[in-house]
Amino acid sequence: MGTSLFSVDYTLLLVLQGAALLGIVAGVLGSFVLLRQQSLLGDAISHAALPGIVMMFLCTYSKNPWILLCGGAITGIIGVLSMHYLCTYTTLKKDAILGIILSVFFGFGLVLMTVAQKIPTSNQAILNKFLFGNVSTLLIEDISAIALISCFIMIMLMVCWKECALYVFDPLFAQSLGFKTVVIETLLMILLVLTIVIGLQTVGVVLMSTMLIAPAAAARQWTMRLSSMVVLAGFFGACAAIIGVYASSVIEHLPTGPAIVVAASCIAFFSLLCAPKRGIA
Amino acid sequence: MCGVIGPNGAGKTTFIKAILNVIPVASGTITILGNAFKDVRNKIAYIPQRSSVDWDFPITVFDMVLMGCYGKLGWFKRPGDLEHMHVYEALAAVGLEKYADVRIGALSGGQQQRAFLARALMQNAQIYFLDEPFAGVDIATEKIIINLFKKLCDEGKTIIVVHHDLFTASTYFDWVILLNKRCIASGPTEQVLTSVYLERTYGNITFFR
Amino acid sequence: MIGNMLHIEIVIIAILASVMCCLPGVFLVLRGVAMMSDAISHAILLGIVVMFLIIKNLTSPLLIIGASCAGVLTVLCTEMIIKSKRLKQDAAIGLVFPLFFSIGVILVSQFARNVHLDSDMVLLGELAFAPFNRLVLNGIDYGPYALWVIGVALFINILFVVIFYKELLISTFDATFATMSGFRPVFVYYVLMIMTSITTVAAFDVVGSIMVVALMITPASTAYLLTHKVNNMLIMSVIFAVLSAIFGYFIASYADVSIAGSIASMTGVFFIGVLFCGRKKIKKYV
Repeated sequence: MGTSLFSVDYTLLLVLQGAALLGIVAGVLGSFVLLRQQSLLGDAISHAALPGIVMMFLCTYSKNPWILLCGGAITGIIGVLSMHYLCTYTTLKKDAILGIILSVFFGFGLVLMTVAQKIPTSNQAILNKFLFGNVSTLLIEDISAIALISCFIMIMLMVCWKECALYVFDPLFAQSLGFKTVVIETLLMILLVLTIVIGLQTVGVVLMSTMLIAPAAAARQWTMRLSSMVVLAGFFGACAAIIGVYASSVIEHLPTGPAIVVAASCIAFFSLLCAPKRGIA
Repeated sequence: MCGVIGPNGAGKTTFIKAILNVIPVASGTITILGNAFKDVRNKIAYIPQRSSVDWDFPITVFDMVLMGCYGKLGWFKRPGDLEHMHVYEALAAVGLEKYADVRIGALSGGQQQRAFLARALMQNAQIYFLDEPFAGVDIATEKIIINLFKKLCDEGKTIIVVHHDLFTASTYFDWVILLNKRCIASGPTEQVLTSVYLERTYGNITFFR
Repeated sequence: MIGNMLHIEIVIIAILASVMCCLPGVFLVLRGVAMMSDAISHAILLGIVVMFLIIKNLTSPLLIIGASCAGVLTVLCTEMIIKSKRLKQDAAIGLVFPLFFSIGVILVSQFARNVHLDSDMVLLGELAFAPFNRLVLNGIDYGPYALWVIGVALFINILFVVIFYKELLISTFDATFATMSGFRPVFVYYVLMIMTSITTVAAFDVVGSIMVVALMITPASTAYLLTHKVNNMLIMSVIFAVLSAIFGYFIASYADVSIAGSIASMTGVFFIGVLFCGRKKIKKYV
């Protein structure tokens, strides 16, 4: 490590930027997800992405994580559509549907992973990195891609802010005003899948859901207004990501993903305990 | 048969819940049949206003009504043939014999209410508390329910009903409690359902008597 | 001959594990807390690691106690957050278990790096190795260690479901009525959570968390689509779970792929089959 605690080398700076961007976007989008009571949806989509990632690998043998993540995005969206179908056409409860999609898709992904492991190339290591993330292998192209996607997500949200905010608070009312809730829901789902796609590299499948929930849960304790909550969540997310990455670079054998999760959770629990009472959720 | 009447927000449901130990009491004590609630729990049946039940739950009317006897059986004991017979009797009393094997989600609003009543009958209680049993129920079902109540009263049971309709109150109940955040009046129907007390409960509204 | 024995032992373990999982799974699904199985199955890593660091022994049954404590702790923390009304149920669940899991992973990386205890294993398990780890007492080989652990846990689960059937049913269906009738729904809930923890712990070594979650939720949900009686739901869940275990294992050994993943996928196959071919519960539009 550097000569002093505060000397930061180039790679670390890069990684910090990428993680901070992820933190902001995850926090922002997580606010919507939290308010719609779909917090575990992030968990399910993250797990559903695995088979897509592996299938893309089996088709292209590529080492490029972004190509693989396209596959992940596809199965992520298939997962969302399946959940929607099950919600509409069966009497199964949301939690059971989430659990089914999560475990079945991920199980299938594991099967594919063992298929991939038998292929005589050395590229399979890339697959393991999606389980727990591996922030230290982020390259400048990766950061640029993360930045690009993040900007896209933020711009979309800003443009459709009014509609998304209304939909989150009262979907029936939004519908009665003439907004096509299907479109808004689809937009939010696509943005969610994109967020998860950029997050999978950093924190991995297992821990991605915290990036969405913890900053938003923390922000929720401090304010009642959506706009403030979103900004605060983004801020908390970035802080958690920066703290986590920095801590894992300074302390030996501290894996980054879990470090970020612990940081984010601490912020969340602190907010739960110390924020002034704001009335019933 | 006693009716608890008052405007919205008067505290009628709170009143019932306090008696039944569902919510803590602010002051004073409550005795039921001379004892605290937990000693006479087995003698009381309660049907809440909007049931906390999941109508998609995989359970038939028979099995739901059978649950009424669980309280008397206590932990670990199984219901037997005697209890099964009681279920059929209870279903017959509310007119749902043909629906024993139907899942509860397939019932109409009135039938659901009657199923809850059948379950309460299984409890073989001394006092029945019902919170708005006629809300959202059709006339035919209402008549079935009221006849059932009258039969129970003849058997010596006490029925306390939170009710919203003043017009039917005078014919249904022989004792009325008027509530509006505090007890306005409590007594036999003819004495309580007078314009003096009603005005104090509901404010200045003209009543057709 | 030995090859066949191996297959048979693994299949038996898989079958017992699947039945063991689907029993509490039925009540988790009915209660609407299915994702708790996911939460508990990840959080137990922390319990296992902490216990391991204390006793320095990977095969001790004390690990099960540590893991069960972690499971119950997860539920307690989640419930506390929900009760405080600061977060809804889904957010509470999603906040607590990743934290416990992360702390577990960090502890492993810091203090137990060289040990055969890694987070991969918690997730994935390795059923294929189960027959090689045998329970040998006084020189007599009693069979695979995992068989005994899962067998005991299965027995406990069956005992719980039989003894507490009525209480589970009434507490899950109508908690207010249960309280009125003199039962304690909260107590029954924690009994269910302890069952879930014990199950997950018993299974994690051989099948990992993902298969546990799949076996808890999916066969129960498949049965849910087919019946409106809880006894039938229990019986059908067991049938689907066992079939998934058998077919999943044989496909995995034929194609040489992950056994746990294969079984998890099979639960999904049966679910899809019932969804499109069975008598499904279609929602009525109000």
